[in-house]
Amino acid sequence: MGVTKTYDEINAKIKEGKAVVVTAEEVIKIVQEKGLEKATEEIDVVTTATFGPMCSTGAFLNFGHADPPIRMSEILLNDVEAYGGLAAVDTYIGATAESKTQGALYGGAHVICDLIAGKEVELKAYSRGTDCYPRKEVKTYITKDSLNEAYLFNPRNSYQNYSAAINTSSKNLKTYMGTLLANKGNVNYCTSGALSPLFNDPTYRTIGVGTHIFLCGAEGYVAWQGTQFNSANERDENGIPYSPSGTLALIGDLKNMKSEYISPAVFDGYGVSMFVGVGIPIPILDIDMMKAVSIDNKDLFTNIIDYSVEKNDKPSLGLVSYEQLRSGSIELDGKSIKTAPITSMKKSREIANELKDWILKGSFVLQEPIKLFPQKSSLTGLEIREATKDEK
Amino acid sequence: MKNKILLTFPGDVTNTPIAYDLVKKYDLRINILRASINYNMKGSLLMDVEGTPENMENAIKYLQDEGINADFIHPIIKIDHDTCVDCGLCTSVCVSGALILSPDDFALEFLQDKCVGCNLCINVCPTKSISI
Ligand code: SF4
Ligand code: SF4
Repeated sequence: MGVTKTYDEINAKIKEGKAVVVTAEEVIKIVQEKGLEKATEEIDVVTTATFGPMCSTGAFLNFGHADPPIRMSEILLNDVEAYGGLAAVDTYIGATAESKTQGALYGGAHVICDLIAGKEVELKAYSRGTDCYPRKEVKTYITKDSLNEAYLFNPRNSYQNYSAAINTSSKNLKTYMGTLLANKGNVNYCTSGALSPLFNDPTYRTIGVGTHIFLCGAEGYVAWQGTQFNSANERDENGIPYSPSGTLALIGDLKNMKSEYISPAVFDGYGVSMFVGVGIPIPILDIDMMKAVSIDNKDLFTNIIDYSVEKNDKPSLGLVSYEQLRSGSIELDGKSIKTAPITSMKKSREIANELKDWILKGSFVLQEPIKLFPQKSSLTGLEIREATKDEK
Repeated sequence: MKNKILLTFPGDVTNTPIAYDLVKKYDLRINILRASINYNMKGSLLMDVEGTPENMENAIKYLQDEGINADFIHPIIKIDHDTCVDCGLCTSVCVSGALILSPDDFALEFLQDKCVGCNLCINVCPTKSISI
């Protein structure tokens, strides 16, 4: 067994400004040139990143109390409904909620980005009034500075692999994967490939509950496994899954986020979503970890799924590598089909570099996971059924 | 649907009440941007036309049957680079290859000469960064 490093050793180097940090793209060449062993000795941290649309995104906000106070049960932020089922002045606003007045042109994602940009947001709230919270209505304006707390909490981000999308029907489809042109007119795909966080730590050795991350320009943490965490999927010899598998629930400080790393997304005919910028550092604990981060797009595969089949379980037309997808076209049944990404590679790179800078400057240290994710977790579907008979 | 149409017509049809016909027969809203008549009595007319795509097609046919050269001027799209996140999704519907991601840094590039003005990219862009 060659070199091993601990979190403490790596963090000590970071604080002294001596840590060697590279991105998950840069590391590929270094390993090719120097070999795994030498690279493991020299490199301490590899930064990964992604910037793609993630619908399961939202923010917890606390407005503070008015005088007299109100127990808000119906809440509108710039006419977008936020959840009114928490304590008096707490709410959660989801990215995909649409404006009551503007529809899909403006949604929760826009409210969150307006707050991050420092803009004023209109708050309207209603209540039936109680003895302790007599007020029945408020209409006022908030900013991120007027809020007590504001943090993003995203139940599912950073998918470990995602299926590419195609349409075999004779009419165009408008989906969250963009417009899929009829008769296999195009293939759209997500993930930042070799730079994607969970591709670089496929068995979740260093990404777990408590991992310290970059979230939209601010610091954040992995809060839990993401929803629909499906680690039991089929994997290759490197442990990399062929289909959507692990996911992350992320939390981060909205007040310090930067507009350039988060953006509303409106998909034609589908609705509102949100581009979320995530950066995750991976400590090179040993040679196995170095091997994991040195994967290249040619080693990463995903299924091409037919979105024209109106079932949850859509058929695959075959596997394709991220290198092929990135090239701009793929061959399918002897026909060349144009491919286009949805995840921004340019932004993903910017994030990986920004996180690298933070660590090089000593302003960001690593946190060892305080709980690891399950390796064999699978999904259940939603059964549509009658109530159990004997339950009276 | 809104489009710019450029008409050029020979002297002998300069008197046809085109604008009237476009409004009455094809239910188009028109806004004349430029009109000129030269010394040969040959004229040209540039206008914004708004209406259903079908009516517009038919109106163009009608004008051509009247002996007028009529064609759409394809408005050139604009990209707001402040809001564009370089995701690349617009390239998926751009069959002419006018929108591409640079192979080096994956930044969105717009090759204006290749744009055919189909405008498909406008609605596809999730950050609404493309406009005419
Ligand atoms: S789809 Fe919009 S945001 Fe994405 S690259 Fe094109 S112009 Fe930029
Ligand atoms: S208008 Fe059509 S041809 Fe021009 S850039 Fe957009 S999609 Fe491409």
